[in-house]
Amino acid sequence: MAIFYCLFFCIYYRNPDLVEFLRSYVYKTEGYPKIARLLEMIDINGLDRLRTIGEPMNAITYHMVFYQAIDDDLRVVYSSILRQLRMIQLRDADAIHFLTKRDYELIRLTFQKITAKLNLT
Amino acid sequence: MKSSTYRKYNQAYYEEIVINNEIESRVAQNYRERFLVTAEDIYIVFEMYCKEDYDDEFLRTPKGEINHKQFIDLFIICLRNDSFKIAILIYTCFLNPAEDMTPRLMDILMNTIRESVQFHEQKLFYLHQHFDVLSIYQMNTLIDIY
Repeated sequence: MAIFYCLFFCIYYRNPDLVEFLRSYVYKTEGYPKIARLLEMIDINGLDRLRTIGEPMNAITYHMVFYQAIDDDLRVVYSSILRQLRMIQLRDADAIHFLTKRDYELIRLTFQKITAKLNLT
Repeated sequence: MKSSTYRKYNQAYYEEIVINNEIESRVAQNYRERFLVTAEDIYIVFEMYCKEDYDDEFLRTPKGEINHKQFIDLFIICLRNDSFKIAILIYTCFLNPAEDMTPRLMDILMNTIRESVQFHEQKLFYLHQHFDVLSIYQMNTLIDIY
């Protein structure tokens, strides 16, 4: 899944060269379906659109990575996404994660966010 | 997904997550110590209890910060959301029924009878108990409802 997060940070920091490198790497290895999905999103929408806050595809992509990062307990990733997005859809599992990790800084941060309704789980 | 019923994330959202999931009691206690401190925060959580009818949590939480007017507002929230387990608690313990049951409250009560069939016997109890508050117009409305 490291490649998945690398691709996300390519979007986050706008690095098209690294995307091409990772693409050739993914073609040579057996990739996870989520990595293929993220590459497909980059191909269809382009990095600029995916990283523009307010674009519908940006919300979907960032939420996809956010949920995966919570499940993998990668605070660096999910906290950076949480700081970026103004509207966010927290699953119950995400809120439970913040509570059990006693991550009061991020809980306070969510108080400034508006809830979103996305067709994502 | 609980967030779908909220417009913004707040203390009540996390409190509802704590109630509905098996959160360790120490985790819940630590959360409450930090986030349910001011009167305003506590009132937000009480509003959520009244909307969702969490009567056990309502009984358990200290109510020292809630004033009489806020109890009337909470009672109205209970009426509007069919939360009659908490409504009867507020009515018996924190309201002065003779003074607080105003024609406005009776209007809200009659609207709930029109909109939902739940807790019908309790709604009739309030109606019979405070029949004297009803105006002629409200009595006519009541006949229309039935």
